[in-house]
Amino acid sequence: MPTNNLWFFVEGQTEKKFLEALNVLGAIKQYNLWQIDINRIIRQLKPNTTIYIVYDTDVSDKIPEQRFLSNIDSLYNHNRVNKNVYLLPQTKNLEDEISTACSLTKGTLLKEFRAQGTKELKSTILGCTNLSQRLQKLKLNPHKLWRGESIALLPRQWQKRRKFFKDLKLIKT
Amino acid sequence: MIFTKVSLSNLYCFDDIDIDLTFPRTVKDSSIADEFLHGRPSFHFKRVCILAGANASGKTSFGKILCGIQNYIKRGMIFDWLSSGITDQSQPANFKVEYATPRDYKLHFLSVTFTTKEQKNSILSVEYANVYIRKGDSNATARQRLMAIVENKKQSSRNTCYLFVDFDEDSEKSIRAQRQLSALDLAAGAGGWFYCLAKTGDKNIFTPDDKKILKVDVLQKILKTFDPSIDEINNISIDASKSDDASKSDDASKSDDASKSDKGYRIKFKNGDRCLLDGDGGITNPKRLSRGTYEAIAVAFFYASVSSRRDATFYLDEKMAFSHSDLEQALLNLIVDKLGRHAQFFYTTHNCDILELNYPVHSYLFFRKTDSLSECINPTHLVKKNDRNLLNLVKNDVFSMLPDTTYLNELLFED
Repeated sequence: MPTNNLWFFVEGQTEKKFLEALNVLGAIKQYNLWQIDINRIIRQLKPNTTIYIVYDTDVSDKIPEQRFLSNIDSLYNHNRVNKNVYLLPQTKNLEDEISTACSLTKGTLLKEFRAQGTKELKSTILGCTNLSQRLQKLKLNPHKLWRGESIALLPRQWQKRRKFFKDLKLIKT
Repeated sequence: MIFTKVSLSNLYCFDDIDIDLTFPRTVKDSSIADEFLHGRPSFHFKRVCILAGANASGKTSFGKILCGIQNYIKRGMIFDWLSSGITDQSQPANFKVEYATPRDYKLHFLSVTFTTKEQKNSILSVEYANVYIRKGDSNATARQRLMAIVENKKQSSRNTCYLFVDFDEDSEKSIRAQRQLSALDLAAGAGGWFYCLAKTGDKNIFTPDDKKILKVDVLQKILKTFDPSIDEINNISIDASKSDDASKSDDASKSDDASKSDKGYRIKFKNGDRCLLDGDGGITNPKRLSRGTYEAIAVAFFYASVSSRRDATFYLDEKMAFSHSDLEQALLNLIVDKLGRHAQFFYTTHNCDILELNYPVHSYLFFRKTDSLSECINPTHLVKKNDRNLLNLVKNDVFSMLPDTTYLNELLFED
C-alpha cells in the first residue's frame, strides 16, 4: 500500500514549532493523546496515512496511561492508517529534549535563549522567527532526539514501533 | 502588460514581499504553450499563475493590489483598493512592479510610494524606468539591465528611460520631472484587465459592460454543465425581465434579439421554472439556482472576457469554490486554453485537486500567513522536477500552508 500522508501528532504548540524547524516532511497536528479521545478526530484521517506520535515521557506517572494506549491502539487498528503508527518518545519533555540534543545543560539552554524559566523558554521559542538557524548555532544533533527510555514501560508491541530521526523523511531545501 | 515581478510593503497583509512571475528556463513538454514573449524566446513569464493558500492568506488582497496597480498605470491615480489597504496608516505604503509590454518589447519598472487619501498629496514619490528587451535577452538579463538603471538613477542609453519624481519637493528639478512623468504615456502599457474578485456582500453577478461580450450559447453550455435541469437560456429585452410573469414569458421570447443592447437572459428549467438575469447583473429568483450554478454565471462572463479580450490580465478569485472538483478542473482548463498569446491569468483556489493538474510547477504560488503577515512561496525552490507530486508535498505541509486547526480542536475536545 502506498503511503501518501505523513502526520505528526505533537502535544503542544512549542513542539509543533520545534518540529517545523527540523524540516521533517509531514503535516504537524497538535493532539495530546494523553488527554483527548482519538475517536473524535478519527473521521479526519485520510487514506494511507502514516502517523508519528511525539510525546512527553514525564507525564506518564501523572495521567493514566490507559487513555494514551487506547488512543494509539485505535489509530493502529484503523483501516486508513493500516498499522502505520510509530512512536517518538521525548526525553522527559521538550526542554530536556533540546538540551540533550544540543549537549547542553538545561541552565545553559535557558541562557542561550535568554529565558528565566521553562515558561519563558517556550514563549521565546514560539516567538522565534529563525528557530532553525538558532538550533543550528547551538549545534543541535537531531539524531539524539526522541531517545526517551520510558518506552520500556509500554507493551512490547509498541516498544517495537519506536522511530528515530534517521527514519524520518526530510524536506529537501 | 505582463507582470514579471511585484514587490509590496505595508499593503494589506503584505510587508517586504517579492513575488517573481518569471521562471529561468523552458520546461520541456510543458502543458502551457508559449510562456515567453513573441520574438524573445528566452524571456520567460508565467502565463498561468495558480495561487493557493488557506483562508485569509492574502489571495484576494493580492488581486486587489494588482488591479490597483493597473489602474494607477492607466489613470495615474491611486485607486481606493490601494489607499484603503495600507496596513500601518501612519507609514507610507509602497509597490514596486516590473512589467513587460509585448507591443514595444519594453521591460518597465515602476515604484510608487503613497499614503492614505485623507492626506493632501496621497502620492509621495514615483520612480520609473524602462529598457528595451533585446532579441537574445532572457528575463534575468533584461531585469539586470533595468535594475542597473534604477540603482544608478540615470538612463544608460537612448533605448532606456529613468525618472524620479518627489511630489513633496517644489524644486524646479522636481517640477520638470513631474512634467516628464505626465508626458510619458504609461497608459499605453497598461493593457486590458478583468478582475473577478470574491467580494463579500456582492449583489450583482456581473456588470452591464460584461454582458455585451457573452453569447447566450456560451452561457447555456456552461450553466447546463452545472445544472442539467436547465432546459434553455434565451436573450430577452430588459422590459420583459422586469415583468417576471410566467404568462408573459412567451411574448418575451418572441422579442429575442441578440443585437439589442438592453437585454438580459432568461434561464428556463425543465419543470417550467424560470430565472431572469437583468441587464445590470441582478437576478430574480436566485434561490432556484444552486450556489455553484449561481457562481458559474460569473465564471461564464469571465470566460467570455478571456476569449474575447485576448491579451489582458485576468484574475479569477475563488469563483469556483462551490463547484465540483472535476468541473473546476475542466473550467480552468478551458480558460487556460483560450488565453491570448500575451495574456496572463491568475487563479486562486483552496482546492488541492487543482494541484493534481498537469501544469508546470512554476505555475503555482502558495500563500501562507504567519501572525498578521503573509508570505508567498514559490515551489520551484523545492520541486526542481515535474515528476514530483506537488499534491503530496502540499498534503505533507512542505510549504507550511495547511491551516492551523488548534482552536477548532479546542472546541472539539471541550466537554
